[in-house]
Amino acid sequence: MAPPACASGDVEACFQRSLADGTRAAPVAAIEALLGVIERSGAQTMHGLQDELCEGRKALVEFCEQRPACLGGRTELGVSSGCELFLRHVTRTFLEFGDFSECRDEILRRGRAFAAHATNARDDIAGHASSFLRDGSRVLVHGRSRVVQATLKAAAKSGVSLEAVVVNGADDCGACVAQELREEGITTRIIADAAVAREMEVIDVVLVGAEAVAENGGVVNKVGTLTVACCARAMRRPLYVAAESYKFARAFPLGQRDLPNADVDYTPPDFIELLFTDLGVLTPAAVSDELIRLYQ
Amino acid sequence: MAPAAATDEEKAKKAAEKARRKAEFEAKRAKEGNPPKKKQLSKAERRELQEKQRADKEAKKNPKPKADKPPPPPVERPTTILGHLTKATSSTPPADGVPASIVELGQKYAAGEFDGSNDRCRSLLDAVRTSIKDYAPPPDAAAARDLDVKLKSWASYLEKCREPTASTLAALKRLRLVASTLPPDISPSEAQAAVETCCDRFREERVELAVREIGRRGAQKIRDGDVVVAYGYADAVEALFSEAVGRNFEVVVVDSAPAFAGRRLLNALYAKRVRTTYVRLTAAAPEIERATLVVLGADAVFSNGSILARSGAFAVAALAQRRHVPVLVTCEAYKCHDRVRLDAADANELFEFPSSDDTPPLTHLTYDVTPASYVSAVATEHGLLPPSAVAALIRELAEKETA
Repeated sequence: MAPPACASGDVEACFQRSLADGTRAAPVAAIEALLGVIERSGAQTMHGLQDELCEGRKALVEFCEQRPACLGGRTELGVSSGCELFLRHVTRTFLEFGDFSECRDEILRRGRAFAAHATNARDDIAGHASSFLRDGSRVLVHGRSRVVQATLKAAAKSGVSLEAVVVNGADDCGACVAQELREEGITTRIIADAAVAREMEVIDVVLVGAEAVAENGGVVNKVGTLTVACCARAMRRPLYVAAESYKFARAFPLGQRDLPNADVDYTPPDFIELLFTDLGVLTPAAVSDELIRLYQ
Repeated sequence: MAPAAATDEEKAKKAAEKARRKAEFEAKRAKEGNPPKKKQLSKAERRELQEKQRADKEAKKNPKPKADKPPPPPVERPTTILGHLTKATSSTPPADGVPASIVELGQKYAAGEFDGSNDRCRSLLDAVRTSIKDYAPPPDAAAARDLDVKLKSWASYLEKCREPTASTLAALKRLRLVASTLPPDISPSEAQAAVETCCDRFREERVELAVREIGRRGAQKIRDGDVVVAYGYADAVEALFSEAVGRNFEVVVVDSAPAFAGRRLLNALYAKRVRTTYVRLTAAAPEIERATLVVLGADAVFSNGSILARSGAFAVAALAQRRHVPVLVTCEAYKCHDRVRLDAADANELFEFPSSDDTPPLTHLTYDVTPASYVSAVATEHGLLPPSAVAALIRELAEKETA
């Protein structure tokens, strides 16, 4: 999967090209688009380059806000957190190198490594999660998350026989997920979203993805995740979140009122047992440690 | 390899010899039977023996007890669970060489002046700045070393007047770090200038800027239609509401005896035409039931995420927890304290109100400790943090300071 040429066109066009082949998550595509900004940039100072990157990030977030379809029904939170982390990497590199052109080359090198790492993150996560899925586990899945699907596929491939119980709501998204899992040879059952509490009794593990991970380790995800989390807590079933570290956002919702729209909800950290990330298996409290280390 | 082989041979020989001797000894012992048992002693005899041994040991330890030495004064044991706490006292005699402005500050501390940790810290920095102007090092000592010793003696005098706060401890730590790292051959005037700069920078960066930044960040959490409960007074809480002026929100100021610090917040909000209700802590429950956010100030945040704040803050947080109302605690990063306190009785400031014939003695603790599980977020100038991340922040800041 070679990165698409970003030598021409504006940052939005570049972003759309990256997304087009369907294998990349939106935040990764956004990071690649920002790398294109650096390649095209004629800036002679670090400050100039940073300004251009900030402009690029703003343009991308606005683009996503206006065309939610390109994100497949997700919010722009992931794109904005991915861009912010990338900018942070740029600033850190700048602090290390005095010379501008040397610094620019290093940023590009690290940026490509960052994008490549983000692309490989799913495999890393699947590897970390494998020890938590045992033979015969019944896994409740909510939302259409590529990481969750990759994790289940990897487990099935390694010979663990699972039963996936997929929650289906009004948008019929669960039916698509179930179809994709069946194609991978995973035993799958669809349940209605209203039946989550009823089914929880026979569930071993709840596994969800995330659109963004908040600073306190809580997650913003497809609406209904909090309902699932409340049921899991009431029946004392573990809830695991699979999320790439580029989704760690500098956002701290105090409750549902701090969310951008009604398609997502916020699950507080006390409902989450562990997070499977490419940085390793983290407790919710460890997320803020990672963020403080990055942003201080 | 020859010498090594020889030693191996020798070793084997020795081992064989040892085993043989051991076997002989065992056989001899078996022939003789068990050694004779000791004579059985009665309980009283055993006791007598023990007492004697003890007395001998004591006599050995203190060979010649001085007849004229007075017995040690009886240790005063605390009689209540608060008996270990010290009361603020103005009767502390100042040590030699403590300047007038520090003595004056100590008297004010003892009299209970200055409400709030930021004010305590500001007044301390002012007093140090004034005192340092008249500073003249002794002719034979290096200014840098002498200055550090002076600061230490001033700090210990102030500590005797009133329990130090996390804020004053942090300021003094910074000042002493600056003083002790001055080059040894520095002139007194340069040393003075360095300390003055340190005072000014600490006040501007760690206190004033921090208050404004917390206000800015915290105000982002206030939305139209919010009912925000605040308890007592804190600089950052006032800054937070000032930032949010213009939005349609209501504030409920909860206040309590003996300081009634909430009146200061009430006046500030009234001047800014913010819709405000004022209640005593005793009437706080129904107000918190309808609240959408609770904002508390803090005197210190410990590394386990628990909060030291004005007495009564825990009660407010507990009421909020009951209804899942988020609790936001404002805390300037310099008050993050690398220690923990278990509860309010662990360490505290004790105030006793004089009792008369018809009133029983009344005791007041200045602070209480709110556990981390009652806190949704800690607002610092570095951003909003979950209480579990305070330890990480302390670590990062310490690394920055030493770098």
